[in-house]
Amino acid sequence: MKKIPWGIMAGACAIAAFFTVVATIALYVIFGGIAAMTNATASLFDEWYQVLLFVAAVISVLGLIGTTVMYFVTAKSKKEKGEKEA
Amino acid sequence: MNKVFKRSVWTLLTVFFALFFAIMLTASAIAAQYTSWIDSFFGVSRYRLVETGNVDEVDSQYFKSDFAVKDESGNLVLNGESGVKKQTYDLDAMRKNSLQVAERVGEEGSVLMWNHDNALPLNEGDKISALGVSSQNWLFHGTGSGEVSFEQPSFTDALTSRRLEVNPQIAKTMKLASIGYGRSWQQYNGEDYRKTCINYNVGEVPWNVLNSTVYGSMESGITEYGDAVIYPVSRSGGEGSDTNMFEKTNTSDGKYLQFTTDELSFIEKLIELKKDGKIKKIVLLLNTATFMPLGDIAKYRDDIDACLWVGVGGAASLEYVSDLLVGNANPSGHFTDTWIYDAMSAPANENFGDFTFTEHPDLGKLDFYKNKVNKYIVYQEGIYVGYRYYETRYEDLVLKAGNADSQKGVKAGEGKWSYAGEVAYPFGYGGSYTTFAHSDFKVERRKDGDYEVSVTVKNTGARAGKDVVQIYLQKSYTEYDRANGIEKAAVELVGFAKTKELGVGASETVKIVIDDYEFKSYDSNGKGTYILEKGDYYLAAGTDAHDALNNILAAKGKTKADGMDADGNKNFVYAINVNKDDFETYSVSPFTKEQIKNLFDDVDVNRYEGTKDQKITYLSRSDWDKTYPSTVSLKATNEKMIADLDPNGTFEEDPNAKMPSYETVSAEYGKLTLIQLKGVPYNDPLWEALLDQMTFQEQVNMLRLGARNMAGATSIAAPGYKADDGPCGMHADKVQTYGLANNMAFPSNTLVGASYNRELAVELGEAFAMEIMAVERVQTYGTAVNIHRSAYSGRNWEYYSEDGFLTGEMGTEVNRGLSQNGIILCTKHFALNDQEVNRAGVTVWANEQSIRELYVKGFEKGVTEGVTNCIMSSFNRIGCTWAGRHKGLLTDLLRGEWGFTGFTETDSPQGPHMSGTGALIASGVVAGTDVWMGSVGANALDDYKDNATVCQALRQATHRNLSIMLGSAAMNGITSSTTTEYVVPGWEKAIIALEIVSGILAFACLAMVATSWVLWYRNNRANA
Repeated sequence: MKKIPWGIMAGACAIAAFFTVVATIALYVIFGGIAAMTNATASLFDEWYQVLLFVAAVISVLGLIGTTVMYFVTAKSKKEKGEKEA
Repeated sequence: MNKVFKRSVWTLLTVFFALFFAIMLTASAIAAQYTSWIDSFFGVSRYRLVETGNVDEVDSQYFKSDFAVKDESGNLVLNGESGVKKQTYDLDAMRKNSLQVAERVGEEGSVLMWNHDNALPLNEGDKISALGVSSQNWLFHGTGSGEVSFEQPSFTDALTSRRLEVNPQIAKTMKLASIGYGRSWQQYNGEDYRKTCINYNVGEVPWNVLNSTVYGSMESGITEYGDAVIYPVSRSGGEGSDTNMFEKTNTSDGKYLQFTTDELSFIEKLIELKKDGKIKKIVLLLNTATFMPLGDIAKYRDDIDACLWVGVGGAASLEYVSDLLVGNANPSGHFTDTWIYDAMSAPANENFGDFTFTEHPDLGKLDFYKNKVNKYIVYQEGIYVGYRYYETRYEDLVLKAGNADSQKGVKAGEGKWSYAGEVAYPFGYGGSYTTFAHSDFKVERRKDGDYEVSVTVKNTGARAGKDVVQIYLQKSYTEYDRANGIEKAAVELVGFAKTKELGVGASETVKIVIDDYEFKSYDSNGKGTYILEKGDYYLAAGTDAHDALNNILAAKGKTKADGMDADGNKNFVYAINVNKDDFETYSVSPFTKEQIKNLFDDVDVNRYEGTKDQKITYLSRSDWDKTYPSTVSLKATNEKMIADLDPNGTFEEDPNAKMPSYETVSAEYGKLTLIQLKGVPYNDPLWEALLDQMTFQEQVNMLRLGARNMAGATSIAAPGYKADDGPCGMHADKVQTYGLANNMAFPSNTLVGASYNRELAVELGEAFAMEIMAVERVQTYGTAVNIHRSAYSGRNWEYYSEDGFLTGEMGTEVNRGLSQNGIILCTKHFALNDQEVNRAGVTVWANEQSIRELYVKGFEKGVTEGVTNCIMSSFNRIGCTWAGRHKGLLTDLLRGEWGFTGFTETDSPQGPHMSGTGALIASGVVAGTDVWMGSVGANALDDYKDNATVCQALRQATHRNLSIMLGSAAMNGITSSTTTEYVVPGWEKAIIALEIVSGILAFACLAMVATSWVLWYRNNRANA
């Protein structure tokens, strides 16, 4: 079975999670600021790209959690295997 | 070693920092376009003033607040940093004054509609019930940028403090009910026009719910406190969307301005209780931003004892409403709109709303959504807006002219059109707790050509009160008019005055000067200028527009037998016969001596080259039946039209323009600072020397950075200043920084207009100015002088009236109070921004007569009197051209004809038609725009650095901007030894720091990636 690089995937997910979460929050703050100037309100889901970003943020955070868990699980089993072989 | 140089880790880190770096570069570029907005968001200024001299003895407070704190010797108590002095303020006294002025505006603007058997005022000690959700959820302001929020007081407390006994249980019940029900507004940003309009919800709690076991029985409580039942009904409105003019839908109460089923059931129940002897009086309060169509309650008019329109009064609302209810004040407001039974009977509503070009095959290259380039609106009703329509059609009905009795336009009435069937209260109507008699109407022609009208007003009732004298003009409607499409309204308001408070039996002779300039008419199709035609003209006094018209008809020999609804009094009419046509006198501007000619041919479908294949019929009194408006269909297929719709349009090069100097000290006195030009005339050569000192980029910055933070310039020590939204109080952030709990919400402009009191409007402007100075702002985005073209326009509460003359008179006085205290007032929205839907780019089509006589009229007076120092252009297009690029509007009319010496600023750019490319900015500044309200990049005019036409236009814009800045409170504290330093704000430093750090880290990580690969390769080779 081909070895899956969980560590690299976790890193990639972490990068994606960081940028999508920051972008989601930044857009909310910016739209909130603009809306406040006209006494209106803003939400996380006003525009289609906000929804897209939010979904991407959720997926990448879930991916980060999953790949991190898998990374440690594989690392542990690798360690146990190594100890057995030793 | 291997662990340090792990390839995957460094690759990931490189990706991360490279992405971060790229994002920061992009963010930095975007932020550069919105710097003034971001500065405003963080509350920072880029210009720091430093006093370098000893100025203890210098009075540098050029505009002093009435509430500036003084020491025992009467000297101002000053503070400030960097040696620049600032005034300190007695904020409690300032706010108390603001509230008192606002309360008087409310008292003098509220209109008593009916008052059977003197039901009002109430008696001290009366036991009353205040019902309806609005009694606990009062409407203080409309929504949008003009709304000012504050802690809302209690109606019950206000009534109780006037020694009325208010049913506490019902108040609690209504409070509880207002949580689940109540007025609401929800933002909707989509494209569906109907959804936009149904965001406003009335939310009255149904009577059966209120009377259920959930809330307890209401009837017994009402009976116990039944001396009077006060029932407030409220209607809001605001920026960004119009109110619902559609039939009932699943998610709204139907046409928003009409009474809802729940409100009507409430009224019916109260009438039932009254008939059963359980309550004595029903008092209806209309807490509405603008008028409500009264068709639904016409049948209850006899059963409702009193009805008072109290408008939307801001922070002082409940104080003046309570005072009016108990008679501490006597209402003296008069309507600024015609109150009709069905709002749809106004012909303008046939073409109000969302209209899309039926064909636009070649518009694909343009951005449809953001430009609204495929949207249009046609002012097919021409000059017949509001009373100009109803009164003119009434006169023609009496005169049996123009097919006035056609069924076209019948909405509330039945059969043939009738005035009584459509109109509930005429423009200018207003009642009082007392009565007045008018007499001794006299008119004299003055040497300067103006007319002086005098009327004696006597208080014939039993209470002190104020009255309004209104003077209307009827112009001659001639065969030439019919042939050339000129329309003449039966009456036009041309003068008014409010009396002082008259005690019982007291009288006052009011004198009103009528400018002969009002007698002219605009003839776009014939002479292409203003003309005065021969014929009979009438000046008439009246208690309202209809009364004045009836007086004119009486002077023409008409009586009730001719179909009039009341006999007029010809003693209040002065007839003037003009015996020959005059096509010369008014063709020259009295303000600038410029020749007046057509400037808006490109806005009139019938005159614009781009619509030469399309023709429309404007509403005309020559035939009401054949010309009554219906929805206009337009297409955008003509090449000229498509080219004009393109926001990246061109401009006309000035062959005589020479490149200006930059960064040059040319004055014989050496280097100048702005303050040194105080008192120097606008055309003095010293101004040229001052402008020579500036850099090109400084001038560009003054052009582009106008959003709440106007740019300064260090080369000439120009300070810049802060601005915030108006027009009915400052919409300023972080007021706590200045020691205030909240901003002051002044009454809506409709209420100010209804006071018909110029002196009070000045006082309001002054009180507003004090509030602005206290929060260290200099500019406000107001006043707002568009007109009420349709009742459904969301922003009507910010505008004064359906009448341009009244709007101009009252708006000018508010502006006077502001500008004489050093405030820069950005009078808005110039022009034809009379609806909210599609406002950002919609093409607006109107004929030149209606533009000049109605829609820009509100701006004209303030400009020609030198009171208005800033004009805000509108979001929409004037014809195909955005207002901020329309030279006819911003230069030829505003400056050429009216002699405007202030500066123009755009509204906040929404879409690429307002701030897209350098070409657009260049054409805008050449057309006459002096400042953009942000959203323009620092490099916007880089391509035009060597273009003499653009650079000269930019220089003129800077000159106007600096001239107004110099004459404003922005210069307070500045002396000839004050310098200006440019300060990079913290947020911009943070972005630069993040850019540098992420860039370094990205490259460092990249180096580590390379190193790790080299090591990996060497290891592999070694292992092999």
